[in-house]
Amino acid sequence: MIVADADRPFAWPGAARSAVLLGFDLDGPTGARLQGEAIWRSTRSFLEGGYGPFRGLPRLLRLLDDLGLPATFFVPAWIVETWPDAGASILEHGHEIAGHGYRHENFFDLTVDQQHEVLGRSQEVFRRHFGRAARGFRTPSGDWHPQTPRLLLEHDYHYSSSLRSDHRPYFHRLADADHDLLEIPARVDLDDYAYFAYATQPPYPPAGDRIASYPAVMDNWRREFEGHHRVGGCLATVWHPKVSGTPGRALALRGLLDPISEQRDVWFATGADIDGWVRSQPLEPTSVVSR
Amino acid sequence: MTPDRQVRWPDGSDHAVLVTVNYEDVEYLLAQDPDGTRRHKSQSVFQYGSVRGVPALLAAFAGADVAATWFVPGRLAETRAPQIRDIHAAGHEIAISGYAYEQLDEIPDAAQTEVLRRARDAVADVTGTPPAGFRLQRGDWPVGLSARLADLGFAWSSSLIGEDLPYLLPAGESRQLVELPRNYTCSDRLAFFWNFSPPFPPGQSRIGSYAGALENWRFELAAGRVERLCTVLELHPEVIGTPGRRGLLDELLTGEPLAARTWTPTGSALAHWWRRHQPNNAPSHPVEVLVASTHRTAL
Repeated sequence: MIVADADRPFAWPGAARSAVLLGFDLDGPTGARLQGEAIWRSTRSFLEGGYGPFRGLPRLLRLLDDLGLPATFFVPAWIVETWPDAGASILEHGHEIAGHGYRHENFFDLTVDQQHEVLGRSQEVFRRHFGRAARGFRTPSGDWHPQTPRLLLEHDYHYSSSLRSDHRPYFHRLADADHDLLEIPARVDLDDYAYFAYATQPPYPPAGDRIASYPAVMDNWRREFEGHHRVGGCLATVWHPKVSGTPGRALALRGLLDPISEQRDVWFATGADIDGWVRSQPLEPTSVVSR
Repeated sequence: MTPDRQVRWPDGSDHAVLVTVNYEDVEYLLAQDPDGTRRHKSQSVFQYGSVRGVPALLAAFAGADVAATWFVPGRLAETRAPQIRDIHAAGHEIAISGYAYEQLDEIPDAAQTEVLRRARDAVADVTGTPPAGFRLQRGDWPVGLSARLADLGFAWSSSLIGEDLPYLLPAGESRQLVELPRNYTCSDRLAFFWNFSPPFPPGQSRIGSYAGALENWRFELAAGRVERLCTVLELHPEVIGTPGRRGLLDELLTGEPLAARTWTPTGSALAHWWRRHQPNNAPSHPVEVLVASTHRTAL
């Protein structure tokens, strides 16, 4: 259970009134449907997912460069192994690369031992490729397991951007743990899957709903930015390079982000920056997890 | 990661746009509904495409001076020969999508070859030209299909999703097909088509806003132009050919960003140019990763 201390004032660095975490999930072909060796068996799904690291990511990196904005990419370790240049390019462009499972596992369905294996293997890949473990983690495919936050701490993760229960960061306070896991909550309203993800045979969404209007979605997101700014919150996006990295959607995102990036009282930060900032503050920002 | 190298299209064009039509008439219905032959109302939805949609599209393409590429189940060359002749005579390309809109990944390899051969020959009988292009309309890409297509003389495909530029599909024995990849956004069927039986969309969700779909297509076309990409449009005579939606097509074909410095070749012309002028796939291209990891010589 989470008890939010919602009235406590929250300070952002300098003159910033709100914070934005541009969070991208670089899933590539991984996902609930393609576990294990099945990832190689569907040509269509593999190529549709491969669009993320091959085309969507470079396009979004160019967009972020143009606007001078930092971002955090949550990347399954298998993607780092399969497209090593993609992972390296995230760091070369000054962004953060964080954890997202080994092959986008659904943690809710894993035993504690299996989660240990996935998290240990993933951090090992990050250490081998980037010289250090990931600080951040976003749980893939829906729910995490009740023991996941404890396991994240054991595997050297400092923060998570997985849950939904606030519009600003808070701590998961775990009994018997010597430090806390920071949560930078993200919202499904800011998840491009809910608007744009599409597939046929099997259909996604299952009912085959139309791809939403780009300008209408940008309007929703603009209103969320404005609202989070008004309440002094931290807006975290769940954007996927294979979904939002098409030429036209990246163009629409440019139109959304360009004016916001000019606003001096918005702090665009990576998850690691936010984690460092919150931990440097004398007042603990928020909430307690107990079970 | 892909290089930032931009493509230099022929004649100083900024952008390649492949205008495609999936023309299936009742084959779409008959292949997916065992009761289709008795469903006259559902059939009429698709017959509208032959009666009104095809002439509307021919007029729209003529007005915009666009050569389109039409994918037909081969049997349509037998049941709708006058339409196929008109389309061909107007300077468009005829390519195939099976013989009777089959789902190829549900039938054995040899039967796939027979379907493709029969479709190829049916179209060649009407147009005098064996088709060179193929589009997989249903199901997954069966392993080895590219080799079967190459065996039958096909040069290119426009089937897969997940690229913004053409690329090469290994087809065994050092052969390659050119893939002209499509996308889910720029399709009138996915935006507007609606049917009771078989249900489409599967959950019969609402028909999309015309203005909203047009705006999305324009975003993809405008960005494709800035980045010098290849954008594939997918049209269906029974969908875009209505009096109201026909206006969307005219707006799209004659307004920005399609009006100037856009190359609108046929599928064969585009595939031929790509094969001659462009390098092999980058090693990190998803199709290269897939074939390397599965030790295949043909996709």
